[in-house]
Amino acid sequence: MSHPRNDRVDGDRATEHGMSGFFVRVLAALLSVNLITIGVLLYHAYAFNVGTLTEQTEANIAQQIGVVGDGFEAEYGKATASPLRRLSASPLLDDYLLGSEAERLVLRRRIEQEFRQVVRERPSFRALLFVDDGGVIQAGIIDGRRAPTRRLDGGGADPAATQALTELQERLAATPLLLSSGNMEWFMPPREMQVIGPVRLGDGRPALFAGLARLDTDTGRFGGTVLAQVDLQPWLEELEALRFLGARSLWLVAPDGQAVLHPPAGTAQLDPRPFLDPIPTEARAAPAAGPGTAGLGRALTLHTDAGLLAWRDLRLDASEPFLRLIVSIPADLVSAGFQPAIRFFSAVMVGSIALLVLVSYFISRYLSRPVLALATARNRLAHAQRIARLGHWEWDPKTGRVALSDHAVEVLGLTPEDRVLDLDAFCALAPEADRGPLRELLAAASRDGTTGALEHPIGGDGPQRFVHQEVEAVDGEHRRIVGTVQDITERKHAEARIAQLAYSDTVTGLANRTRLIEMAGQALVDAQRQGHLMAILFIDLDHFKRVNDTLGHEAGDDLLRLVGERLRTCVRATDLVAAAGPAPGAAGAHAVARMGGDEFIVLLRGLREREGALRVARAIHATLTRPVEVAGKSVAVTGSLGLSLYPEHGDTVDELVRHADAAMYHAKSRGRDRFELYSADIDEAARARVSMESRLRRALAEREFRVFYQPRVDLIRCDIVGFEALIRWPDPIEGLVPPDRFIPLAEETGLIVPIGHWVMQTAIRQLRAWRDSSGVHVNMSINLSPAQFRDPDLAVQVRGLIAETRIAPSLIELELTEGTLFHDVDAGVALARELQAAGVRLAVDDFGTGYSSLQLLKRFPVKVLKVDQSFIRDVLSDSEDALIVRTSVTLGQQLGLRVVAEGVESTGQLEFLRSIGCDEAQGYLFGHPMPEDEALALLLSQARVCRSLA
Amino acid sequence: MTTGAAVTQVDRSRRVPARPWAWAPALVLTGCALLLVLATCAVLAADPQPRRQRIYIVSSYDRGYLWSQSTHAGLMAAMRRYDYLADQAEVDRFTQTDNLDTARVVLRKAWMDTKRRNSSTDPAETTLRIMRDLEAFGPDLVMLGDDNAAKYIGAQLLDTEVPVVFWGINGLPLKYGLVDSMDRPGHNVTGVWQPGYFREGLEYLKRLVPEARTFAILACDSETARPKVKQIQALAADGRLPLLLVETVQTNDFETFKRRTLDLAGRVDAFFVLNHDTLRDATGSHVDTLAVGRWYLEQVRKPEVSNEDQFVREGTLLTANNSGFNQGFMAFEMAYDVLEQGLNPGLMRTRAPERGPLMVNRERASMLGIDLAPLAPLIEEYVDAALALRPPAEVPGQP
Repeated sequence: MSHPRNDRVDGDRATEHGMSGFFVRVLAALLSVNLITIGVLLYHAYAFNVGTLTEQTEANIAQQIGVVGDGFEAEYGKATASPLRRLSASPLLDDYLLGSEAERLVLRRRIEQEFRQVVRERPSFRALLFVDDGGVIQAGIIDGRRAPTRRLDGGGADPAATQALTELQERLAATPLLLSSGNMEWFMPPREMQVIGPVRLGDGRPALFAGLARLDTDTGRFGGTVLAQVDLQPWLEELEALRFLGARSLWLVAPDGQAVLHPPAGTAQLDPRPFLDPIPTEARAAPAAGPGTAGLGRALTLHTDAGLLAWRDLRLDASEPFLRLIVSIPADLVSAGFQPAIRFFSAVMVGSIALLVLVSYFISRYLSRPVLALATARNRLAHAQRIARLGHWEWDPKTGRVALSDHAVEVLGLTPEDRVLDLDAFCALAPEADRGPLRELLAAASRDGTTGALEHPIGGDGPQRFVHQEVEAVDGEHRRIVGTVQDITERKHAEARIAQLAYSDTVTGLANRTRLIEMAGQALVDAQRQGHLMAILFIDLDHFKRVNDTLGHEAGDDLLRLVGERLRTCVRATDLVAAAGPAPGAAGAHAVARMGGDEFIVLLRGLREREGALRVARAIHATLTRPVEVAGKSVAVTGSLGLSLYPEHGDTVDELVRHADAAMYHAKSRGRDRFELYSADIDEAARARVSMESRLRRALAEREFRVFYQPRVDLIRCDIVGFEALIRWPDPIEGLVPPDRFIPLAEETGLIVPIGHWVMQTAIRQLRAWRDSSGVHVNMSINLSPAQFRDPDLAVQVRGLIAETRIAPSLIELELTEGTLFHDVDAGVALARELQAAGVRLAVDDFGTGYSSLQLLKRFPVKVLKVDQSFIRDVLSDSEDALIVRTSVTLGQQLGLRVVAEGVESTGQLEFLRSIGCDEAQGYLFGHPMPEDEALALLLSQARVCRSLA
Repeated sequence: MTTGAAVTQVDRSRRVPARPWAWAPALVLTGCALLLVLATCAVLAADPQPRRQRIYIVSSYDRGYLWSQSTHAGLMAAMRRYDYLADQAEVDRFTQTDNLDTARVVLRKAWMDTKRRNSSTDPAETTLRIMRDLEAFGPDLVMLGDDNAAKYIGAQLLDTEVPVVFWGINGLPLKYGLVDSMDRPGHNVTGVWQPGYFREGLEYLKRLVPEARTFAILACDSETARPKVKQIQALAADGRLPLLLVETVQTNDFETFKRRTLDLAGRVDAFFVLNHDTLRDATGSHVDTLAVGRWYLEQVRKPEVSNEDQFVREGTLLTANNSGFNQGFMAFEMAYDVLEQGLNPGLMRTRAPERGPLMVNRERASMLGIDLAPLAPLIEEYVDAALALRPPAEVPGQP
C-alpha cells in the first residue's frame, strides 16, 4: 500500500522520463547540426588566419632583416665615417706633416691621444692609423697600443690586414680631392669613405677596412689617409637574431654577385649547412632596393620546398649598396608559424564537441532525476546548525516546560539529562541582570505573538560565554513558543578585540589617532560649553629613522614606548591629571596619543590661560632631550614640537591638528629640537611647501622638467668633450624655478629618485639622439643624488638605459658628492664597482668642499675629480684657493684621474688652469647650461670654445 | 545660325550695367594703385646715401715688409676703384696713420709684426691686443692679410656675426679651419689665397740661362716658407720643373744659411730664393730681410728666381709674380660684394688671382752679366735697383 503522496511522486517521475527522452532526441539532433556548423566555421576561420599569418610572417622577416641591416649601416656607415671624417680634417695632421722633427714628437703624441679617444668611444675600431702620402704609418693605435712608424705594406702582423690596408691606401690615393676649373677656381668633390671587406683575418675574425683620404692643404694633393680596421664580429653575432626566424642560410654578397662571407663560419653556433648551399639567383640578381628597405621573394631553385628568401642591401657612406645580406627560410619553417593556429583551431573544435556532449549529459541527467531528497536537506540543515553552533528549543506555555534540542543543550553547556527544563530553570541560565528581560521576552511572545531577540552571557564560574536567543510564537491548536540559541562567544571576543585595536596604539599602548580625534572632539565641545582653552601639542622625534637604521626596528619600538611613557609622566608632572586610551574614566583628562611613525599628540584640556599650554610644551621639550637607554645603548633623541590653541588658532579638531602639525614642521625647518606656537605665517609657509610639493609631483608626472646641457672643454685638445646634464624647471606658475629651491624639497619627499632617474634617462637618450642626427660622440655627466645612490636598482637602471640606447658606457659619467660616498661606504663601494663593471665612469663632484679623503679616492673606482667652483672663483686673487686647486690637480695627476675645474668664467682663470695642467674645465666662459639644440650647435661649431681658448 | 547670333548679341547687351557711374569706385582704386607704384619706383630709383662702412684690417707683418706694401697698394687701389677712398690724399693719410675716418668709410689697420716678433708667446699677446682694439672699433667687416692674421685673428672671429675676408694664405685656405670647402666656405669667412707660380718662374730663368740644369731652394723655416718649399718639392717629385732640384736649405740660423748657401753655390746652377725673413744671428737677434738679401747678392753670383715681386725689388733676378697687389685688390673686391651687394661669405667661393707681371731686376742682371734680350718681349715690369744694396734710409718703410 502506497502513500498517496508517493503515488504522485511516481506519476511525476514517469512523465519526467518521457519528457527527458524527447529532450535527449532533440538534443542529439541539435548536437549534430551544431557540430557541422562549427566544423564549417572553423575551416573558414583557419583558412583566413593562415593567409594573415603568412603575411605577418613575411612582414616579420622583412622587419628583422631590416633591423639587422640598420644595425650594420649605423655601426659601419655613419658611426664609422663620422670619426674618420673628423680626424682626417684635423689641423693636427697638417701641423704634424709641416712641423719640425721636434714639433712632430709632440704632435704625434697629441694625435695618438685623439685617436685613442676615438678608439675608446668606438671599441670596434681594432686599429686606427694616420698614414702619410708615401704609405708610412705616422701615428696610430693598433689593438690599444701605439702603432710603430713603418711602411703600411711591410711588417704587419696579419698579412690579410696588411694587404687590405695597402689596397685601401692605393684606392684612396687615386681618389680626386681637388679639381680646378682651369680659371683659378677650385672645387672639392665630396669625400666618401672607402671600405674594403669583409676580410677574414688570421685569428678568424672578420673585419672591414675603412678609410678617408686627406687633402694636403699646402700642396692641394693627396695628403695621406686615416684608416681604420673595424671588427665585424659583433655584428655577425647580431645575425644570430635571424636564427629565431629559422634562417637556414645566410650570405653576404658583393655587388658583383660573389659571396664574400658566410657568417656561420665566424659564428660557430650557426648551422654549418650554408656552406653547401649556392647563392639563390632570385635574391642575388634582384635589383637594388631603396635605402632601408628589404626585399622578399620565393626561392625557386635553392630548395625543393620553395622556401622564402629575404634580402637587404647594406649601404655605408656611399649611396650604392656595399653588400647584400640574403637570408633563406625553408618552407617548413615558414609554415611552422602556422602550427600554433592549426593547434588552436583543432583544440577549439575538440573542446566545442566535448562541451556539447557534457552539456547534453548534464541536461539529460537533470531531466531524468527527481528533485533532491528532503532527507538530504535535513541532514544538511543539522550539519549547518552544528557548524553555526546553533540549537533550538520549544516552550509550551500549557505545560510550562522547555524542550531543548541536542545542539541547544550543547550550546547552553548543559548535560543530556537537562534536555527538558521548567521555565524558571531555563531563565536561570542567564545572569541575574538578564533574567527579567528574557522572561519578559517569552511572556510577550506568548501573550501578543511578537518576536524578539536577546544576547546575554552564560557560564557561571567557568569562562564567560555569550549566547544569542531568538524567540517566536507559533500558532497552531494552541500557541507554542519556539526559539533558537546560538553561541556568539567568539564574535563577542572579536568585537572586543576590534574595539581595542580601533582605539589604541599597539606599540605604545597609547591612544591612537582615531581615539585622539574622538577625545579632542569631546574636549572641544566641553571647552566651548565651559569657556575654557584647549591645546593640541604635536610632537615629532628628530632623526628617529637613524635609530631604526642603526639599532634595528625593535630598538625603535622600544624608544617609542619609552618616549610615550615619558610623555605620560610629563603630563602628570605638570600637575594635571593624565590619561590615555579608551578608559571611560579618562573622558575629562589630558591625553597622549601616538599618531603613527614617530609622531605623538598631547591633548591639553580645561586650560584657563595659554601660559599653561606653553608650560607643558616647554616641559615636554625639556624632558625629551634627556638620553634614553635603548638596546643597551644611550640614545640622545630630540623632538620638534608644534602647538595650537582653541579658540585662538581654530575651532575644529581638524584645524587645530593641522595647525599644530604646521607649527611642528616650522620647528623642523628652523633646525629641529625646538618648540613653535602656531601663527598665520607658519601656515602660509606650510601651504607654500605643500603647494610646491604638489607642483613637483605634477611636474614629474607631466614631464615639465627640462634638461639643459653645459659644455665641458678639454684644455689640451681645445674642444668640447662633453656636457653636464642639469635639470631646469619652467614652472607654469612661478616661471623658471632655481634648482636650489626645489631639489631640497624633492630630496625630503623622496621625489628626487624618480626625478633623478628621469634626468639620467633623458640625458642618455639625448646622447643617442645626437649620435643619430649628427654622428657626434661626447661624454655626458649626470649628477646622482644621495637617495639615488642608495637605490639598489640604480645599476640595473643604468644598464637598461645603456642597452636601450646602445650608447658606449664610457661616455656616461655619474657625479657623486663626497658626502654621498661617505654615507655608507661599504654599500657605496659595492654599487660603485657594479657601475664600473657596466662601463660607466664615476666622478667626485664639488671636490674639496667635503671630506677630501684620500681613503675615499682609494676605495672608490673614481675616474674624475671635479674641483668645486668656490675655489676657482678667486683662484687669481686668493693664494690659498690657488694652492688648493694646484694641489687637487697634482693629486689627480698622481692618481691617474682626470681633473675638471668647475665655474670657469674668465680667461685669466683659464690660463691659470692650463698652466697647472688641469685637464678639463667647465663654466660660463664656455657656455651656460643650454637646451639640447643649442648644445649640439655649439658642439658642431666649437666656435665659442675656440675663442675662449685661443 | 543668323537667328542664333542675334539672340546672343541681345543677351550680351543685357549684361552691361545700365548705370555708368558704377565704374567710378574701380577707377578711383586703380588710380590710387598706380600712384602708389609710381611713388615706390621713385623712392627706389633715388640715389641712396651710401652707408658708412667700418673696416678693420690686420696685417700679419710690419709696415716695412715689401710684400705687405704690395698687398696694401692693391687694397688701396681697389678702395679707390670702388669709391671708398676719394683721392690719393686719403690713401696717403691712411697709409701713414693706419686710421681714416671719412663720410664713406672708417678704416683702421693693425700690424702683427710676426716676422720679427715670433717667440712662442708673441702671437698670443699680439692677438689679444688686436682683438681688444677690434672689438672697441666695432667693424662691419674685417680683412686679414696673410697666414698669421688668418690663423690667429681668424680663429677668434670664426662663426661670429662679423664677415671676414682674408688674402695671402700660402697653400689652400682650408688649412686653418676657416673654410670647410674651397667652393662653399660654410662660415663667415672667405677670401683670396696664393697658388704660387714656381714652375713658370723657373721656365723664364731657363730661357735667360739655357745652360742651367740644377737648382737649390733657399728659405727660412717659417709658416710662410714651409708650404712653398713643399709645393716646389712636390712639383719636382712629379718631374714638372725644367731644372733638377738638388737640395733645400730651410733654416732660421743665419750662419747655417750662409754656410750652406756658399757650399751650394759651387754645386748648382741656380737658386730659388723664397722667404728669408725669420733668420736669426748667433746672438739670437732677428736679421732683417734686406740684410740677408744684401749678404746674398754680394756673396752669390748665380742666377736666381723668386715667387714674389718683393724679392725682385729686394734684388733677386726675376719672378713670375704671385702678385701681392692682386691679392689685396681681389680681397677688397670680395669685401665690397659682402658689404654692398649683401653676399654671404659662407657661400662665396675662395679665389686665387691670376699671375702678376713677369718682373726682372736690371741691377741684378747686370751683376750676373745676363743678357735680358731673349726674354724682353715677355718682361712686363723692370725693377732698376736692388733695395737690399741701398742704404736703409733710402728704402721705403725702413726706420
